[in-house]
Formats: sequence, structure tokens, C-alpha cells
Amino acid sequence: MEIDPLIKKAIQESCVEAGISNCSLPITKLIERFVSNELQPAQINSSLQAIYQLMKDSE
Amino acid sequence: MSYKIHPSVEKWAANLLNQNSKNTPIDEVKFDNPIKTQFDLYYMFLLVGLGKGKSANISGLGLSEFIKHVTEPYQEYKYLLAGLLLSAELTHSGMSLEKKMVQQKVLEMLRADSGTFLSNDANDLMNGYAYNGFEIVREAYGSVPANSHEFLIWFNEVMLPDCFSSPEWSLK
Amino acid sequence: MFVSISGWETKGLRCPDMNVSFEKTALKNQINLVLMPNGTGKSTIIELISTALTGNTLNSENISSFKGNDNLEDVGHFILHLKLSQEKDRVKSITFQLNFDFISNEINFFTKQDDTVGLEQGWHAPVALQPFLNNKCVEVFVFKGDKVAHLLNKERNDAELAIKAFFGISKIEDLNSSIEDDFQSRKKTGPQTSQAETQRKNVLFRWYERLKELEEQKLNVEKYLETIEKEHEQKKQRYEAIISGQKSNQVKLTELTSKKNKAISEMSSASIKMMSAIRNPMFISDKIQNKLLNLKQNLDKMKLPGTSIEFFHELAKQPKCICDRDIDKNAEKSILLNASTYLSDDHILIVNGIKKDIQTYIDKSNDQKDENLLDALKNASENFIQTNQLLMRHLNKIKDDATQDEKVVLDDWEMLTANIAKARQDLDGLLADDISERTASSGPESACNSVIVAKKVIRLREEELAEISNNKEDFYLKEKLKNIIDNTITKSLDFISDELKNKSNEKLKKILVRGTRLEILSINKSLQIGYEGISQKDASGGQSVSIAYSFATSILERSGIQFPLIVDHPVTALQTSARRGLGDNLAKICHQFIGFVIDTEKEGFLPALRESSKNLNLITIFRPIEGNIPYLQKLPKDSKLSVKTSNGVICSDYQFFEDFTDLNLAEGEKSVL
Repeated sequence: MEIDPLIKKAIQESCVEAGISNCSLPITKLIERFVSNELQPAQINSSLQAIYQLMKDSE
Repeated sequence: MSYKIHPSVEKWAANLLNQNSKNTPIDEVKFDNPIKTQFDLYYMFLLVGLGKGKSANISGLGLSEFIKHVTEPYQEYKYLLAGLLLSAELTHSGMSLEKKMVQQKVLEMLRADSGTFLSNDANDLMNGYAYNGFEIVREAYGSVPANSHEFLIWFNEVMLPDCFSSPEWSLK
Repeated sequence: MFVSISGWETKGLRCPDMNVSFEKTALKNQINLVLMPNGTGKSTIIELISTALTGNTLNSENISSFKGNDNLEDVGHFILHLKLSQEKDRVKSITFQLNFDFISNEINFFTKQDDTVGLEQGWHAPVALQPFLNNKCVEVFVFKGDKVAHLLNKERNDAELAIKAFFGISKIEDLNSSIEDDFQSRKKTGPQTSQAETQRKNVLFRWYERLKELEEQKLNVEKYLETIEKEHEQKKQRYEAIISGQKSNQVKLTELTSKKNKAISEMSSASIKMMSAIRNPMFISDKIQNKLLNLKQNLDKMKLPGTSIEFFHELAKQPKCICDRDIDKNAEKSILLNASTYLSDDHILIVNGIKKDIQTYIDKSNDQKDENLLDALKNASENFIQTNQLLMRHLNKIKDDATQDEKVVLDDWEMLTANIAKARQDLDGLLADDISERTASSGPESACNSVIVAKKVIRLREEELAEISNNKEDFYLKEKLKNIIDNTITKSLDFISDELKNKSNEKLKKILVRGTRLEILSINKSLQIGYEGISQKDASGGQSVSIAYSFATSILERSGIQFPLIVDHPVTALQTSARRGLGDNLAKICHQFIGFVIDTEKEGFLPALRESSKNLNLITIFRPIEGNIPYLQKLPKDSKLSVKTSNGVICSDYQFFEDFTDLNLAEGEKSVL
């Protein structure tokens, strides 16, 4: 399920403010899939690991 | 700066802090509690301690810090509080107001890089005044306070005038 | 997508058996009024609609209460028919069926999504609707009880909850819990650690367990509160009926309740002013003022601050003193030694600050009239005690004047009210944030009774553990991500609230009388109303209803799934002119409206609806008891317009609806069918 465009805008702005604008898309995807109940706990964990790695690489 | 409060305050003053929700019928307007945080209580006990001129040595009591920084409503009075502590200490230590003595007290008690402008020792002194202040209030009030409006009336009508009635506060 | 209710059927339940259809008129911009005298089952039908839409079963005690008194079988059912209109005029039908089994006290759900497939066991909402068919979302468009007042009540957060539910923000909040769970699970399975780390980990895990316990407690209290608040709403009618039966007592009760609320507000105001004043040490006593002024004067007299220590440090480095004498090594040593008794620049700053503030506040206090604060507080407190006593006495009088059966209802009501207050207090305690994490952390986790404080302690301990176990990076990454999610939630709420505010105000302009100076100023936890930046505390009944409907329908439109607006007693609290205003404009703001009314709500409202709404259904439902014989005799002859069941009459004739007046009969009157 797609989330509201205003929520996407909020995610983007929050990522920019945190200095990790390149993580905006994967975080948006994670939120979309989480809100639609698409993810099992194990899938959530692996998505998080990927995002953490991206965050590390941005620093 | 580390603010430390008497460990019995939380229990004794439970009704003062949680006034809003206790026994409020659900079709009733909520009472907006004037005593918002533990710091309000700390300050009230501090006034009593300063007024009575009785601090306590809290170093062996193992008190923990309940808040690091002075809460927002008190920010504008930081200088006055520091001045009050300085004045109270000069008053209660019976020190003559000779320039060298005053200067010495200022050097001992004030510190620019502290959030409250007080040195560590002055900090402990202030916590000691608040600690004792609570004990005085607890004894004077007699029972656990039931609500904050009655407590506030008693505090302003009875406690504060009594605290500042000693001759020390009238001397120049 | 437009979701419309095309009708429903009931059998064997505590409301009359009926088959109601709104398909006489087109479903677009449709207004439906269902007139049911008090006690016929309006609340029951609304409860059933909510249950069918959410698929959430009721607890067994509640299920048994749905059985009809005259139901000789042990089963009953409720069927809700929906129509979904999508793009290109595609219309899909869905039916939710609730089969009640009164022996096992269960509800079995069935769904029909397609005429070819027939009824399927279970509740299966279309995928597009699933995110919205939960309690929180359904509450947005099903208006029960004091919903209108709740949306405007600053003490509640109904408006924020509605937005969070409809836009999935509540789910995003859950994501942070998942992030924590992931972090905790990785901590448990981490590499070998030192003894210090192991110790800290053990303490940390005990705090995780404590947090879990507290969150479970919080969930239980919230569920319990939801249940008893619902029960409270359901029993409110009976309670109010008893009070309104004691006419003179009712008037006095309203008056005393209002006086008590006013006394509480005045006491709040006086207490807050008092506390605000004593935060300024200058206010406490003239003696403090004099002491501080004395301090300042002495500091001035002593010329304190005088020269700063830095001056002497600089001087000691010079070859010559300001008096032109040479400064040798001994002189330098002497200057530096004596300089230590002078104030540094920093001290000078503080002393000057103290002196300045003493002067400022002395000047201010001369302007202030603060002698009356204590008197004002004492008066307000005395007034509160008196009005409270009067109210308590009056409540006892109401009980004394009540019949035995009524006393049971009143006692039940009192107990429910007290239980709700206690549950709210418990919830407040679980969400209290009045102890620093350092204090809480220094004690055992079992002494912590707040979810908020426990989370703060966990964060503190995670940070400490991260420091010593070189896992700082993992910890900070997790915290950074959580902050991003928190910021996303805050920003999302801001953006969406802003848009909804504008949308709602556009609708409001259409409904309110032209020139009315009222709008929604902002949407935070509740709806803040006012005009041109100046807020106002409350609005008239009609205005409040208009605001609430505009807000609710704006959410529905913005979300893309437009559910009908279903309202219990839409205009009871409104004056006739306000009813007319709402009636003139209702069809403009929602695509389907279903209002459950009693006869006294027709005045003003019905004529306006008849003029403004092309798609209007007027349905009367009543029990065929002795006192309603005159109406049985007036039923239209056309069998398509009225249907009689074993315990109900359903009539869709306009004239009958207009003429029907509730005769307010005694209980136990026999049915004539």
C-alpha cells in the first residue's frame, strides 16, 4: 500500500535533516511495507540491517 | 549542576503532583495543577530551608539527582536564586558585610560555567537547604497533603511568613 | 472510492427485526434519517454496524446482552450490505453477516464479496479497505455519544488519533518498537563479553522485561478503559432518562454541575497565578526583597565587582606598574598572590547579573498588585468546596427520589464513573514522566511503574553498555533511525493536519451562515477554533457539529476512501435555526449520511433536508406496542412502503415519517402483533 505523499515528504525531510538523504528511499519502502503488514519480523530485521549499512556508508 | 531531593518527597507529595487525575469524575472539568514538576516542590522546600537558615549535610545520604537543569519557569530567576543563596549564606553565617568577606563568599559560591552560577559546594549547600526545608514542611504540615490548592494556601499563609520571621531577616 | 451502506437486516436481537434498504434513491450525496423512538434500538444498530465493519467480536457478556427479549430461539443475526463505487462507475457489493449464537455466546462472521461465490466463513474485507476497518478509523465516521465535544476538547486527543488512524501514522509509531525489538534481539545473541559487560547486559535485560510488563499493563488498562467507556456511553441514556424524569432535580443538577466546573476553573486559575508568583523570590516576602536590595546596595558600596583578576595577571607581566614603579620578580609574585582575592571576569558577569536582576525585579514588584493572589485563591478554594458539597448533596437527593430500580441504575452509573476515573489515573501513572532516568536507574526495575521512565532508563543503560562494549556505533545508528521515524511522525502530522485544516475550513464556509467568524485555527491533539488567529474556547451547538462533520468528512476525502457519516442524534443539541443550516448543507459535505433521530429532532432539520437533498430516505422504525396503535392504523396501505415483522414496523413513507410522534410509553406494554 502506498503511503500518503505528505508522509513521503516528511520522511525525505527527516532524512535530509539527519544528513542521510540517500537513505530516504529505503526508509520509505520499509515504512510502506511495514504499514501494509507485508513484512515478517525476520524481513524487518534484514531491511533494518541494510539501512544501517547505508547509514554507516553515508558517514 | 545536580539537583537532589529528599527521598521521601515523592511519596509524601504524591497527591500534590498527581492532582489532575485523582478522583476526577469524568464529566468534570480538569483541575489544572499549579505544581507541575518535582522542581516546583524542590524550590518550595528550598525557600523554607533558606528562610529557617538550616541546611543539611547530604554528602553521606546517597541521594540521586532528580533533574540536571533548572526547569523552564525558573530560568528567568537564576540570578535572583544565586543572589538569594549568597545573601542567605552571608546572613546565616553571621559574617560581617566587609568587602573582603563578601568577595571571598562570591569566589567560593559562584561559578560562571555552572548552569545555576553556583559552585559545586554551593550546589551541595542548596540541596542541603532543600533537604532540610522538606523535613521542616513535613513536620509543620502534620499530615500528607491531600491536594495542591489547600497546600498552596497553607504554604503562603502559614509556612512562608514563619520562615522569614526570624530577626536575622530583619537585620540589615 | 466511495463506500455506502445500502441497508441492513436484523433478526432475534434486542432491536426489532427489520430489513432496511436505502436503495430507493441513488447512493451518491444520499441523506438518510432513521427515526426510532427511545428504547427501540438506535445504539444497538450503530454498535452492530461498527462491529460488522471492524470484524472485532464482542466479549461474551456483551454478546448475550444482544439477545432479543422475545427471541425464543438461541440465535440471531445482523447483516450489513455495502456498496463500493470505484473508478469508471464500477460498483461492487459486499455483505458482512454476524451470526449470534446465544448458547455459546459467540459471534460467527461471514462475508459475501461476490454473488457468484456466496457467503464465505470469516470476515474478509477487500484489501483496499482493510487498513481502514479498525476501531480507531471507524470511530472517525461513526459519531456516537459526545464525539463532537470530544473533538473540540483540549484535554483529549481525539482529533490527532483520527488522523493517525486514517493515515497509517499509528502503524509507523509501531515501527520504532520493531526497531527496538531488532536491537534487543541482536544484543542477546552478541559475541562473548567481559564480566562488566555481562553484568550490565543482565541489568539491561531485566529492564527490557520490566518494560514489557509495563507495556502489557498499559495495554490492559487501555482495553479495560475502552470497554468501560463504551459501557458508560451505552448506559448514559438510561441514566439521563432517570435524571430527566426528575425534572426539577435535573435542572438543579445541570446548574450545580456547571457551577462546580466554573469553580474548578477559577481555582485552577488562582492556583496557577499563585504558584507563578512565588516562583519569583521577590514575591515571597518584603524581607527577601529588602535582603536582596541590601545585598545589591552593599555590593555597589563596596564597588563589587571592582577590578578583575585578569587585570592583575596582565599587570604582573608588565615591566612597570601603573604607578610607574618597576615590577620585579618579588613584586610580580606579590601581585599574583594578592590578585587571587579579586573576582575574575566570569564572576564579575554573575555579580553584575545578580545586581541587575535585583534592581529589575524590585522595580517590577512595585508595579505589581500581588496582595490579592492569596485571597483570590482562598476564595476560589472555599467556593469549590461549597459547590462540591452542594452537588454531592443534590446527587444524594436524586438517589433518594429515585425508585428502587432506578437506584440500581444510578449506583451502577456511579461505580462505572468511578472505575473510569481510576483507570485513567492508572493510565496516567503508567505514562508519567516525572522522575529522571538517573534516579529511576539507581533503583530496582520493579520500582519503576512508568513505561516512559522505563524507556528512558533503557536508553541510558544501552548507551552505557554501548560505551563499554564498543557497540556505540550500533546503538547510535539505532537511535538515529528512531529519531528519523519520530521526526517523520511529527512532520507528517503537521503537514496532514495543515491540509485537513484548510479543507475543513472550506467546507465550514459552505455550512455556516455567511459572515460567521469561526474557523479551525489549528489541528493538534484536538481542534482549536477561533478566527483570524484569535482562539475561542467553545462554539455553539450548531457550530460545533458543523466543525466536527467538516473535519471528519475532510479526513475521509483526503484518505481516498469515503465512508458514510453515521450519527446518533445528529441535531439534539441544536437550535432550530442551526438545524436548518445543517440541513441545507449536509449533502454538500458528505456522500452518504445516516442519522438516527427521535421525533423531536425533525423540527427545522427535516424541512431543510427535504428542500436541499435530492436523494433523501426517511425511515421510521417502531415497536408495535399498545400505545402505538394509532400509528399502526396510519400506516400506508402500499405494502412496499411498510413492513411488519414479529416485533417491529418499518415504514419508508415520507408523510408517515413527518407525522410520527413518540408517545413515550411505559415499559412492558404488550405488542399487538
